[in-house]
Order: sequence, then structure tokens, then C-alpha cells
Amino acid sequence: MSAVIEIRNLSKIYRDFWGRPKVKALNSLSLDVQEGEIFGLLGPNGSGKTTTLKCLLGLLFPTSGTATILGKPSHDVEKNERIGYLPEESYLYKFLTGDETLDFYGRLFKMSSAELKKRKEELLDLVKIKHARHRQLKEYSKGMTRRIGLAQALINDPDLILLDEPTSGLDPIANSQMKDLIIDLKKQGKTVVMCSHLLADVQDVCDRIAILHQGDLKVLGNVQDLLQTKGESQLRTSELSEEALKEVQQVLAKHGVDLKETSHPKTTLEDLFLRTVTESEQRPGRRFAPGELPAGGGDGN
Amino acid sequence: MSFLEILLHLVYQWAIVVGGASVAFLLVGTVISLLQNGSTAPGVLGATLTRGVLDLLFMSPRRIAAIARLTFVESYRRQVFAVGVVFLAVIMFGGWFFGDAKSDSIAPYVSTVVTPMWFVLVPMALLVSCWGIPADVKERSIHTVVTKPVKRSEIVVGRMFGYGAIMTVIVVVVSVVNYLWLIGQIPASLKDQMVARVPVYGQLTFLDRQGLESQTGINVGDPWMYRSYIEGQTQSRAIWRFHHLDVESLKKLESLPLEHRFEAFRTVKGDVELETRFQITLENPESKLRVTLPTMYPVREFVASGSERVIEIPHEVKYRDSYESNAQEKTANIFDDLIDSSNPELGATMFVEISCVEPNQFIGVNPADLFIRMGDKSFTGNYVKAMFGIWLFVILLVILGTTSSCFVKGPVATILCVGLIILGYHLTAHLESQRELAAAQAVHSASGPLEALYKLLTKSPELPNNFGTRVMGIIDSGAVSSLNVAQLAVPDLTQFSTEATDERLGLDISRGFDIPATHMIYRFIIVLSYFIPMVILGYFSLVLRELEHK
Amino acid sequence: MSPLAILNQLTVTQRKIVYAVVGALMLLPILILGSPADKLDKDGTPIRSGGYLAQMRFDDELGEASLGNVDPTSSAMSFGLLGFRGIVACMLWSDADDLKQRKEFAQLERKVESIIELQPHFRQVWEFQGWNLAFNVSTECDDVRDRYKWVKKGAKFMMRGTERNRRVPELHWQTGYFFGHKIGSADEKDAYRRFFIADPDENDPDIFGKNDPEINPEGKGNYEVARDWYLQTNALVLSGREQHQMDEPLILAYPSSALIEHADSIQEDGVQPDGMQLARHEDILEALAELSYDDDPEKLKEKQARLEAAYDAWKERCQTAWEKAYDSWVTDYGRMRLRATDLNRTKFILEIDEDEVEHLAKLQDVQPEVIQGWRTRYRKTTNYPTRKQRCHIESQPKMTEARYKLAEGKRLFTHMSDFQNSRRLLLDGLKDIEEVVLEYNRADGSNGVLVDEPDIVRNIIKSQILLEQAYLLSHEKPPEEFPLKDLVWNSQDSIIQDIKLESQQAYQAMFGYLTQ
Repeated sequence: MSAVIEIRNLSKIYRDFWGRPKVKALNSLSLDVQEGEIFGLLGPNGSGKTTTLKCLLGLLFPTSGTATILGKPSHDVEKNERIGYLPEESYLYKFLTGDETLDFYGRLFKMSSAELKKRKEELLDLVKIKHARHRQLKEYSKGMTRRIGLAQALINDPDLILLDEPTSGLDPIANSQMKDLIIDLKKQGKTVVMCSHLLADVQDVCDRIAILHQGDLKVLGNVQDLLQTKGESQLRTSELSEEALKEVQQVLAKHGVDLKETSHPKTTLEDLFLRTVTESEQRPGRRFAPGELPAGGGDGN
Repeated sequence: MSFLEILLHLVYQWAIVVGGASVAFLLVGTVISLLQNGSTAPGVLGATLTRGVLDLLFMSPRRIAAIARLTFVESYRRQVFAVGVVFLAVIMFGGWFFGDAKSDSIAPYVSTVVTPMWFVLVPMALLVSCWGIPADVKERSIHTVVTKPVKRSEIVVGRMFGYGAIMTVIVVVVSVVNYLWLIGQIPASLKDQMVARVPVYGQLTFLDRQGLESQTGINVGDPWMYRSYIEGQTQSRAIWRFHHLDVESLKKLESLPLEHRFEAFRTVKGDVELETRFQITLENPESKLRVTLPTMYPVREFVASGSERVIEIPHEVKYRDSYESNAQEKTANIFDDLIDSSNPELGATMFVEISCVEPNQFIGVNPADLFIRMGDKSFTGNYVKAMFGIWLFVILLVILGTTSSCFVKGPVATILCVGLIILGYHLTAHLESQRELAAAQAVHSASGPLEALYKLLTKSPELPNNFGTRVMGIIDSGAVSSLNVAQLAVPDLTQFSTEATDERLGLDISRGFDIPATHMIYRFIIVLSYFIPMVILGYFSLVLRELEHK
Repeated sequence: MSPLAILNQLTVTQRKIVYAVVGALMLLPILILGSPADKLDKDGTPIRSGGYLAQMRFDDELGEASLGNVDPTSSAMSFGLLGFRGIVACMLWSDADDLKQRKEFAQLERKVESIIELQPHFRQVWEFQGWNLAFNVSTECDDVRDRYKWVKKGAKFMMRGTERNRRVPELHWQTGYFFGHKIGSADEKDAYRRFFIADPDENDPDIFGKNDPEINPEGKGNYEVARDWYLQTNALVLSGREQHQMDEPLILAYPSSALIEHADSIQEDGVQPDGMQLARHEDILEALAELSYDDDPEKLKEKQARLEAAYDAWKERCQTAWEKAYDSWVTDYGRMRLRATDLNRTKFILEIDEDEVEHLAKLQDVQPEVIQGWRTRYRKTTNYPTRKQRCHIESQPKMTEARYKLAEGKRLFTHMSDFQNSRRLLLDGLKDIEEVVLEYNRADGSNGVLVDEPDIVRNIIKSQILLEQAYLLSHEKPPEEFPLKDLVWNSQDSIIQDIKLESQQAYQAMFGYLTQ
């Protein structure tokens, strides 16, 4: 596996009129995204997720540091041939119909018209917009706009897909479909980078995550590893009766193990996230020194 | 100067302006880059330039077409074409303004439809082209586009093409409707003005009262310096030298049609009820054969239709070369006897001399006041040319608007373009008249801002003769010449005026003069010469800025 | 349940209907209060009618329509330009100036139209641009017919100004002045006055050779038309409209003085045979010559009768015109109750006796001297006595007779070389004129005619020169005694001597020599 995205010491500082630093949107971020993985960028609003994506795509110019994507610098438009990008809100042309939207974006790629036509049909099916393909986007609901946005991101059958809040504005069913789709993309061997503040989404689909807060990278690693709490075990069962619970306690006691808590399971990423953010607020700063490649990769810690 | 020479001259001027601007931009870019990147600046700069060259040279027509189409659809769906309603109103109610009012010229009819075109097309071109890209940035829809493999140069060009296409549709529809209206509304009595005369102009020289050669005639004190005057019953003459005559075409006409538009200047002497008249003498410059036509022609200066001022000189003219009453009547053939073709450099040449008949009265002449009227061309063709000219102007605006919208927001871009239009109309004209004035007074008028300031503050009309004055002079002449360079950079929009002060310039078809094809080419070149640098400027503006609305 | 709650229960359509009804109800008072005036007078000007607002507008003269007729395009343009009307008008004005300089007169005319659309009630716009067309543009043309066309355009422009501004005396006065002064006393007045009756515009068959009904519907002389406009001006002034053209007593004199100028111009036009009213001077002389000569004595007799008739008609016309002018000057103007420019607007009358002054003074509660003072002052500024005397002199039958004889004597001399008859007529004419002159001997020994009427003196001297030359040219000795020899010919008055010298030079210029 090789790195599809390499970010080294990427900083973005917004300055005021006098050139004084006003906001540090991103502070010396370094990370890699490997081919074929689903990578999640987490963080509260304003933590630098979108800034990172925009720097990667050349929409923003980093104050310092470099970002290589598919082996090319971020300002190189050639790389876009193999990239699909779904912006935070679908920034599309409201006056185009769904059909025209896909047609327009498709024409921006090296793609024959027959190919484009085929691809268009597939995507319209995939995102279930066929019935509304001849309506202008201004008449679309939020969910439909999101879906057509995804379709345009996939129009070129990209190898790398960057999704900014892919599930925002989607109802639970669509949300679940979106997640299935993302996993599906991974199965096709594509690399997906997604930003989100919806932890459940990330937990469900991502292989690895990075948590950003106030421009600093706080946590980076394999989801499974990160959520694993050493020295403790967790049992998940169907509803236990009183008797069953007592028996379990007895069995545990026999092995010298305490049953610390019985409850319904919790989204543990949320724990991690809250913990990280709270900790970061108490003890600001980076967790990974610049230049030092954070423990990345799929091999855990 | 031949057309080719003028063309080369234009290319030369263009190269200077574009080259100069490029160097200036490059310098500024280097400074900024050094400040931002420090030691890596040359590398960054080089990379940016290389990328720029590649992006500008290799553009994908397919992507440009896609963006152009998007632009067109956008405007169409935003009901830009509703502007047609405005024109419908003009066409419907335009007739009201005429009612039973009598006009002896087609000019009001033409301006009724052409003037509103400016009022609608110019704001529209600006509105369409100046606001598109900023809105795209503001709504961030441009993010979705630039994250596709689209070069920023393609966005600039695609936008220009798209806006151009919209404006083209509008210009075409409007001009067709206007044409039909014109055909229907212009009364039959004025139809003879619906022509496109093809004038052949000569060079004008004078003889003064004593018969000595002179570059100018008599100044009668008219503040409008357009015409110079000759006095009646003196040796004073106005002589037009026609070179490179197309004798074959003239032979087909079987006559020499001369059209004149002199001005009479009456003094208080003489009978007020008599018209001022003039007489024509044709001269072969080689054989010195002079033929004075016996007829005396009234000036008829304010007749709107030119046809009354056309003198058809038959190819065989009868004349007497003496005032003796028994002088023999002779015959001369215009083509054989009066046109000289011996000098290949000047081509077929003939002199036409005008004298004023009435004593104490004056006739005012400008080089354009006498011309050989070759076969007329059609009004329709001329109309098409004028509309093409208007179209070119609109396209120029689209180019300027699109480019300025790449680096400033919509309102600022609009103001910038309006400023350019105003400058384009007035700067050229102003500087030209300044030069004319300086030339006429034959003095070096290097007065500039500092000298003016000095005179204002000291209230003294004279400058002291010292070192300070010389320094001031140098700075002032620098200011004036920078204004001259600025003039080269600002489009000469007087070329596109439909109410030009001189029928040899502009797109005024109501005067019935053919718009020369070479002028159309010139206008086309103007537009083209802005297209290239503007695309470059727009490209770098988009590349070097973050596409975020701030 | 509150009304809002009720609204909430309605469907969208029902709510819309409720809103529409409420909106319409709110409009009702506006409709009632603001309904426009619906009654018009014969000119189409609204009279007091309509809603409360319209009536208030009428009472305070605030409506467009009360100023003059309304042009919908103009109102729409002013409305559409919002506050930029002034700027646009300025730009147009500057354009107009530029067009004038470049002699693009057709375009200038159109530009001016745009200006007045924007500023229809700005008096100076009408005045300036009207003058521009009639005075500045017209003189640029070479052909006198073209010049006349522009004078007409200027006059018509002013007339439209009066239509748009019915209550502005200045515009009416200016219009009158165009017809009187511009047409009647320009360098081209001979042509203009002729054209005023027979339009020279060949391109317009409706008016070619006739009076242009737009400016001269009844085919009158230019001064008569001017008088009609002056009368309108006076009606406005006397109804209390302010005017800033000139002193009120002066502007009120114009209708009467127009009659004087009219009589003067008829007299100056001279005899005009039938069908040749205001023909070119040369043509008239030719026609008269034609009438004075024939080989066939029968025909000659008939011709002479026609000539006589023409002269009689002229005499008749002159005398009537002068009588009318005298009446108007002395009765209409002289007896008018004029207002002085002092704070009290003291009323006075020019033609008034002592008793009446007393009476007028009592009425106004001022000293009689005050009234006398104003009277004396305005008699001077208006040239009242001199003009009265002029009318008096000219309206005498003897004077008309004398003028006829002198004019015919001059014609016979200069155009027929009939010195015998010329001599006779000149002598008779001078005798007649002597009689008239003697009537105006004043108590101080001076003579009213000789002091105040240089034109008559000139006529006398010219006739005397012709008389002398007529004798000399028929190789006879001029008589020792001839009428007015002492009073005029040998007068010591330097002004008269100057006139004599001037007339002798004019004679020399005409014939090349003066027989001694």
C-alpha cells in the first residue's frame, strides 16, 4: 500500500489587514492517507477539517508546508482527473437540472460522450435521482442535492474521493445508504477521505481517523485500536435477566474478575472524541511534533 | 500609410503596451514573492510562470465549450433575454416620437433604434460579465468546478465565450428587429438617404489671396477649427489632389461624380438674398491642362440628403480656355486628358480646384468636404457592418468585464469597466485635440500638473528660469507621456461611436457613408488585442487568489 | 376568538382574498381625496374639479396642468430619472452646445427637444434655446430661405414654450419679439417679411407660397402677429403674473408700439401693385416701370389707372395703419393705468390733465407731485410724446399725399429718367410736406418734425437733391426758391447738415456723380 495523500507540516494562518496572524486554521499538520482506506477527519466546527481538504485541492494556499495528492502538488489540475470531491454543502448550479449537472461536470473530464452517458445513467440510478433528472436543482430537497452532489463527485469514476460532511442533511435511511456506498467504494479499491463531526458515521465506515481541534492534530490512528480500552473487556449480550446476570457475576467472580458496570452499549468514539476535545482544551498544543511522522498506516500503534 | 503598415504599427504599439504591462506585473510579482517565500521565491515564480504558459497554451476546447454552455444556460434561465421586452417597447412606441413631425434626415430614425441599443446592451454586457465569476466564488459553486481537471484559463475563456454568445444572440435579434422597423418607418421621401456612399478622398492644399501655395486657408474666426476658408473673387483656392484613382470603376460610371459639403461664411457685405456659389476647375498635374466648368454651384450646405450636392461631371466636358467672347469651345475627356497616370507611385492622379464666386463671401472647406462618390453600396450592408461593430464593442466589454471580475467583486468590476468606457471615449479624443492644438499653435506645450500647480499657487502666468523649473518640466513631461502611454492601453472607443463627429470614423450609418471594411478589420483587431492580454490577466488573477469569498 | 386567530384558520386563498379586500378598502380614501380633475376648459386645462387633493392643487396652482399642457413622455422621463434629471439635463445642454459649434443643427434641434422634455417649466431653457435656433443657427445658413426656416423653428419653439407654460409672460413676450423684431428688423427683413406671408419652403406644398398656419394662421403682417402675442403678454401681466423682462410700464407699451412699427413697415415697403404684396424690391420696381410705359396710348391709359390705384391703395393702407397706431398709442396705452416700480406701486396715467392727476392722487392718498413725477419719467423712457407726434404727423392726409408724391417722384427719377414729371411731383410733395412741418412749430422756436424726425428730414433732403438734379439733368437751372429751403436745406443745425452730406454721398454712390 502506498500513500495517496501526503501532508507535511501544513499550516494555514489567516492574517488581518496589517498582516498579523489572526486565526491559525491549521497548525503544522502532517499525515498520510494510504491507498484503499477510508480515512476520517474528525473535529468540532472550525477545527481545520475543511481547511485541510481545501488545501489538498488547491482551493486554499497553505501558509507553509506541503500537500501531495496522488503524487502531485495540490495546485496541479491534472490530479483532478482521478479525484472526486463532494463539498461541504453541494455547491452546484441551481439553475441546471440534475441531468445537465452531471453532463456539465462530466464534460470537464477526458471522457467520451458515450462513456459519459453510461456513467450518468449509472450514477442517477445509484443516487436515485432518475425521477427528478429534468428538474432544476433549485427545486431539489436538501437530501436530493446532497445525492446529486455525490453523483457529480463520482462522475469520473475517481480513485480518490474527498467527502466533506457526506451525511449532513440526510435522513437516517439515506444516511445508512451513504455509508453503504462509501464502504462499497472502498471495496472497489478506491481511497476515501471524509470529514465529519458525526461520529457514528465515522465509526461505522472509517478505517483510520484523525481528530483535529483548533488546527492541531490530536489523535491519529486505526479506529479499532483507538477505541480499544486495554485492561478491560466488554461483553455484549441480548437482554440479560436478573438470574442470568447473577450467574454471570458468579462466573466472573470465580475467575477473580469484577463486573464493573452493566448497561447498554455506548458509542465509544463519542467518548474518545469528547475526551480528546476536553483534554485539548485543558492542555492545548500538538500531540505530534512537526516532522515526526505520526504513527499512521494500518498496522496500529 | 498602407493598411499593412498601419497594421504593423498597431502590432508594434500593442507589443509595447502588453510587454510593458507584463514587465510591470512581473516586477510586482517578484517583490511579493520575495516577501512571501524568501529564498525559494525564484523557484516559485518560475514554476508559476511555467505553469501559466502551459495552462494558457494548452486549453481544452471541450471544457471551454462546457463552461461557455453553462454560462449561456445560466443567463438564459435567469431571464436575461427579458431585455427583449425593452426593445419591443422602443419599437412599439418609437413611432410615437415622430408622429406628424417632419424630419429631413434619416438620422432621428436611425438613432431611435440604435441609441437605445447602447443604453440596453452596455449595461447588460457589464451586468452579465462582471457579476458571474464573483457570484460563482461567493456561492462557492466554483469550488466544484475547479476541483475538476479544469484550468483557470479555461474558466476565463469559457466564461467570455458564454457571455459573448448571449450578447451575440441579443445583438442579432435586436438588430434584425430594428432593421425591419427602420425599413418600415423611414418615409419614402427619405429613402434616397438610405445608401452607403463610397467616398474617395483627396489631399487638400490651398492657394491664398495672392495665389501662393499654403497649407491652410483663411481663418474667419470660427471657434470650430474644422474648416479653413477661401475668399470669393480673389486668387484664393482650395485644391484637392486625388491619387490612386480607380479609373476603371470611374469609366464604368461614365462620369466623375463629385460630392461636396462646403460651408458658406457670409460677411455683412453683398446681397443677403443671394446664395454663395463656387466654381470647379479640373487639372491634369502632368500636362497642366486646366478645365474650368462653366456652371456655378450653390453651396446648399444644409440639405440633409447628399444627392443634391452631387455634381456629375460627364466624361466629355466642353470648356473655353479664354474669357474672349469668341473663344473656341473645346472638349476634354476626363479619363484620358485630365487624369494623369504617368507617375506609378501616385497612381492615377487628378487635381480639383474650388474657387468662390461671390466677392466678399467665403467658402469653408475640410479635406472631407469634397470627394469622388464611387458607386454606392447598399444600406443593408452598411447596417450589418454597423451592427457588427456594435457587436464587437459589446464583446470587448464582455472581455473587459470578465477579466476584471476575476480580481474584484461585481460592483467594483462594473465601476472599473464604466471607468474604462468613459476613458475610452474621452481620453483619446482629449489627447488628440491636445496634440492638434499644440500642433496648430506650433509651440511646445509641455505644461503638466506641477506647472499648473505652481501657476495656481503663485498666480503668476510665467515660470522663473531656474533649475526648479527645469526639474518641474522633466517631471511634467514624464506625466504627460505616461498619459500618452495610458492612452495606448485604453481602448479607443470613439471608433465604435454611432454618432461620430466625423463620418470617416465610427459607425454612423445615418449619414449614408459606407463603413470601410478596413475599419471593421481595425475594430476587430482592437477587440482581439484586448482578448489575449485580458485572458492572461484573468488567468493569473484566478490562479493567484484563493477562491474564497471574503 | 381574535381576528388573527380567525385569519389563521383560513386557507391561503381565503387569506389572499381578505388582504385584497382590505387593500382595496384602504385605497378608497385615496380615490376619493385624490381623484384627478375631470373637468377641462376649452384648451384642455383642468378647471377646479375632482377630489380634494386635485382641488387644492388647483387652488395653489401646483399641478403640472395648471402650468401648461402636459406631455406624458416628459413626465415619464423626469420620473424615471429620479434625482438625476438635473445632471442629465446638464449633459444634454453641453452636448447641445457642442453640436451647435460643430454645426450639426438637425441634431441640435433633437437634443434641445430632449432638454425641454426634462425641464419643460424652466423658462430660461425655452428662451435660450429658442434664441439659439432663431438667431445663432439661422445666421449660419447661406441661403436666406434656410435662414428663415430656422427663425421659424425658433419661433415655433417659443410658441410651444408658451403652450407648456401658459402663465409665463416672458415667453409670450419673447414669442412676440421674434415675430416683431427678428422678422421685422433683421438684415434679411425684406425677405423675412415677404416669407412671413408667402412661405419659401418648396418641400412643403401645404404652405409653399402661403402663410404658415402654425405661426400666422390669418396671413397677417409680422408686426400684427407680434401684437397679438404682446396682447397675450399684457393680459397675463395685468392679471398679476410676475414678469422679469422689463419695467411693467414698458412691457405694456408693446402692443401699441407694434402697431407703430407695422405702419412704419407698410410705409417703408412702398407701393405694391396687385398680387405683388411684398415681392422683391427689384421686381416691384420693374412691375411699376412696366405700368408707366406703353406704346399704345389706350393701354397706357389703362396701365396708368392701375398704377394710380396701386398708389391709392398704398396711401389708404398707410394712413389707416397710422391712424390706428395713433389711436392705440394715445388711447390704449396713453390712458392705461400704469403702475410705477415703487413699493406702493403708484398708479399713474401718461395721457392725463391736471384735474385728473389730483383725482388720482386723492384716490391713492399721495401727493400729486408723486404722480406727476412718475408720469414725466415714463413719458421719457417710453418716448411717449415723440412717438405720439410721429403717429400724428404720419396720419395726416397731407403727409400721406406728400409721401406718395416724393416716392413716385423718386421712382420716376431713378428708374424712368422722367425728369419733367419727377420734378413736378417732387416739388408738389415738398410743398405738402412743408405745410405739415410748419404745423409743428413749437413755442420755443424749434420745430417738432425737424427735431424729432430725422427720417422725415432725410426724406426731405433726398427729395431736394433729386429736385435739384432733375433740373440740372434736363439742362435747366434749378429754381432759386423751393419749399423748405431755409428750414432744411440751409439749416445751420449740425445734425441736419450731417444728414445732407450723407444723402449727397448716397446719391453719388448710386449714380457715380453729382451734377453741379
